[in-house]
Amino acid sequence: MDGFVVAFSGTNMMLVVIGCFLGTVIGMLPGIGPINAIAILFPIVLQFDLPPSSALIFFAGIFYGSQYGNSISSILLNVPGTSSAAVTCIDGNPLAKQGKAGPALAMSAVASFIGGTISIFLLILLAPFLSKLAIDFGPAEYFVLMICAFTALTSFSEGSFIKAMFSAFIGLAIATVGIDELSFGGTQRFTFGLLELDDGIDFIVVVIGIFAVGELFLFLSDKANLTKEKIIPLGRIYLTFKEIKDSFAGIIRSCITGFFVGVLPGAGATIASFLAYNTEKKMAGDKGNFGKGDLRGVAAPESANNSSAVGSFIPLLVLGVPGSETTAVMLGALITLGVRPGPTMLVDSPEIFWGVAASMFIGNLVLIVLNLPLVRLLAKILQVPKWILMPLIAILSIVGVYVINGSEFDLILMLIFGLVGFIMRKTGFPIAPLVLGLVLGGLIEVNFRRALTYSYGDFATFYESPISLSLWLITLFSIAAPPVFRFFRAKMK
Amino acid sequence: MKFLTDRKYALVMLFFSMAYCYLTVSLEADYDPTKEKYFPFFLSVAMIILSVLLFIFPSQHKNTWPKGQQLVSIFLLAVAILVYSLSLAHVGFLVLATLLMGVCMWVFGATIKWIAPVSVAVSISFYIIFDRILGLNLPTGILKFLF
Repeated sequence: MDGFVVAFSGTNMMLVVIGCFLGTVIGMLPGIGPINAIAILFPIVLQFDLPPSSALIFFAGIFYGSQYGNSISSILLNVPGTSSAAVTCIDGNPLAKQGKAGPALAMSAVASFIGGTISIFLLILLAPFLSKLAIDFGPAEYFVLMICAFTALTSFSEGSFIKAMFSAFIGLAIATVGIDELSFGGTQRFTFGLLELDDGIDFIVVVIGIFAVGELFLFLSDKANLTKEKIIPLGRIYLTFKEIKDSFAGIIRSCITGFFVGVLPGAGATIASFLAYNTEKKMAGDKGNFGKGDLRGVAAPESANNSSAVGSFIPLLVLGVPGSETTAVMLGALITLGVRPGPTMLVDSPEIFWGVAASMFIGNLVLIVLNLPLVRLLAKILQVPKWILMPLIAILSIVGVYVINGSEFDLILMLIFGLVGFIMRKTGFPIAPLVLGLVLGGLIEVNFRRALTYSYGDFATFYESPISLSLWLITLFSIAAPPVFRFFRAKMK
Repeated sequence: MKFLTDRKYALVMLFFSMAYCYLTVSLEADYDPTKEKYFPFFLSVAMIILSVLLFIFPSQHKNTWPKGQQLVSIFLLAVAILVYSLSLAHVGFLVLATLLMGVCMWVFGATIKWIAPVSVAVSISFYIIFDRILGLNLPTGILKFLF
């Protein structure tokens, strides 16, 4: 609990504010979302030797800020940075076209704030309770848990399940490159005699390659991207009391939905915002103006979005297992910083949990207090031409990758993965499972081999304990669930 | 049998999976699950199975590869990054970053009059911020005589 107070230290507060602002600016850029921002900034932050909790606080700030930035670009440009912001476009952009961009942006901030704050309290309430369950995890349980998270994330991906699984296995395969730590004498695996590959392929290099460089290639491949942005008049950037009152119930409802959807690995902000939007649309019935510019159509997904982001931290912080693409990248960041992820993280390093919780709270506050008044300035930033922003991202990524190890080889790997990421997006192979596979691959294998070593080769260890059995059930459920969800989604349309 | 794009991908996937499988089989250890061969081998077999499955159950994915000008831009950017990576130690950050920035700006649609000044300005500022202020090491390369 004193972790919460510690998080309010001068450095950490400053980190949250800077993180939020930077995150918003980066998140605003069309096509760039929180993952890209975290990926690009990570190696640079690494150089500052911050304690893991401070680094994570900074990234939580960026995460938050970029969610808001996404909303800005959804509302003003009809271009969401990530799929979760796509729902905001539906009512947000019509509002902007009607000259009501200001109130829409304000509603986005307010709904996010309320939704976020409530879900943080839920996080603080639930997490310690869940962590008590987590102490009974041995390597076998942990292995099954990761399989479960894996399957959930993969099966909820858009598109072909087979392709998503294949992406996941590619990620796992990349993770096997390097010297094997568990074997006596340290066998080299798949290094082709290259010394640089002995330590394996750096997670950051892959992530920057895919999400920064790959993004640049994607940008270039879409002709529409290179046209200039039009200036949209913002109008007033505050909400009337009536507007807040009308949306309030919806915000609370969406917040609860969002939080619990966010906790489930795999089901993330996209499903949460979609569900919330549809619920509010039904609740408003004939009195609503959804689709043509209803403020509640912005409030619902924004609140759900934010609270699902908070919810998605629960599997990460309590169990050490990421439930989404973004939390997978954050986990990778944590591992690089030397934090031991896992069910005991809450016991061994509680300051990380409290630090993140506090930073979310402060981040929310910063968004309302700082970013909203600054939104006119931020909108101007959108006017900065692409031919400055994109090259800056290129240079920033390249510098970032180089300073990790001072290695030109990493730069070439970055380029390769940039092309890989580009090709994957074009051919319909989802990227999230690859990231997850890369981040968890090492841990999955280590736990697998350890569990079998302890059980003297008996595979029964993977389904003996009640925890393992329930996890297998959840795994099966998550394979069966998406077709069911899709059925309902089609029905709702 | 319609040759959907997914089926073509499945063939490529099969090729890479089998290559990976070959690599795992060539590891020296035995197939004891606690040793280092089992897990990658299992992965490669799973990937082969998935490739076959994709061939049998392709999705309706449609291709949207870039053409013409866009393809040229992407190729240029990739080459620029490659040249940067290979010659960084010899030529140094300042020169290469300027060139890279210039190529990027051109590829993303900047007008000629902006490219030179902005590239030089950005490359110098990055050098100052990262090498001098933050203390990270960026190679000076052929401009060593200036420092």
